[in-house]
Amino acid sequence: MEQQLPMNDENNFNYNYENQINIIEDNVNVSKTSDIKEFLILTGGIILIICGIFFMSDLAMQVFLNNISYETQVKIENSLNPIKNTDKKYNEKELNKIAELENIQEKIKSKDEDLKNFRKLKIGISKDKEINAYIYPNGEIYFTEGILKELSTEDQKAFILAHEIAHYKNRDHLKSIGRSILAITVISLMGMGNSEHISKIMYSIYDMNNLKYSRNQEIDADMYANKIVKEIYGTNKGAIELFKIIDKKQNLPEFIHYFSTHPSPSARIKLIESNSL
Amino acid sequence: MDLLIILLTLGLTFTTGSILEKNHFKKIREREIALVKKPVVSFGKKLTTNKKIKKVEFVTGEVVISGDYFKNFVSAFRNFFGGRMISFESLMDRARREAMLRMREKAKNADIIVNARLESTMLNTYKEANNQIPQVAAIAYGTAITYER
Repeated sequence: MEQQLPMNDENNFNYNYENQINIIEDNVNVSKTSDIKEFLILTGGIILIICGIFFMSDLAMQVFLNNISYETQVKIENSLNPIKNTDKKYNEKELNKIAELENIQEKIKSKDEDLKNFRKLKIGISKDKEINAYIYPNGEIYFTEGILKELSTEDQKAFILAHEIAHYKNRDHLKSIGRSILAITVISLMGMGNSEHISKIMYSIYDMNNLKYSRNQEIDADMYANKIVKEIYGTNKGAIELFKIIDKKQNLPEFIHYFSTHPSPSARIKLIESNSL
Repeated sequence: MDLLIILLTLGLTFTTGSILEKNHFKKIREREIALVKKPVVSFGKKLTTNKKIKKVEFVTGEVVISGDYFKNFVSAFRNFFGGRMISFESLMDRARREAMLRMREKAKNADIIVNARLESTMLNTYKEANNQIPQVAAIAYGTAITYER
């Protein structure tokens, strides 16, 4: 069937152009929601998910590591030995320093009942100018050359060592690595690794979580070290002086410490001073 | 630092992208209103007319429109949760209308376009490419008819 149609003849084709113009002005094919709102909602969702993963893996590690025996802990530590050669060759000066630190370790152990059956932790010196001391997941404590230069008195050394031993006692060195392995596995499995930028964002959010958590661990370790040093030496003025020196050397604005794994030196001084009674 | 650069790029591309899009939509609306009296229809085979036909012409209009960094970023998140890809809706709409307009402007002197069709396609669909640039190519084509006056 063929049909006759009026074709653009203004005499008999009385079309309502008003209506047509309204359709052009009011577009139904594009959502009214703005892109920025969409972006905020989606980013919020992602942040929530990452925080969820972080806390779940953290909880799992807390439950697991708080309930294992010390023998199991040592077994895990031994399995985590780094591939790089840990038997470094030290010169005589460094060996003396290590021997001194090992003596202090014995003193600290004698003050805390819980530490009695712990194994002797290996102490090493790393050739690093940065002021830092750290504990590896396998239970080895390392002092940098930078921090050894700053440590003048025995109670300062004891404070740093007690701080690291507190991390060991709380099993922080295992918790952080366990949590990282678990969380990063889950994040990668979620298939978000497709886009380079998105995975970057996800890991940044994860790092932020990590930092806050890490600062809490540091505060706990500081409190413990403060208590031990006071029991041995009667005072903890050395640590305050040490943090003052570090503060001066770093000379960073306060807000930077929000992005750091440790609390700011001034915050740590305050913490020690408030607990000195 | 990486995060900062990404956020800066997002802010920049959002501003430029939305300004460009706004201007484009404004122009599209103006041109559509100017052409509102020229009909385009999707049928043609069963059409008859008493008028004498002067000229029959095949007309096409093509356009390729790409999403900006911000839109791609949001869409990647949207890929994860699922749902309407709001950030790409405007892209599709712009491509379709722009292609249509180019076809109609090509047939400016014709009285009607019959048998009008729309196609859309992606131009770069390599599976290997990690950073695919989301874009849409729209093609509009039809038969323009001019009557004898």
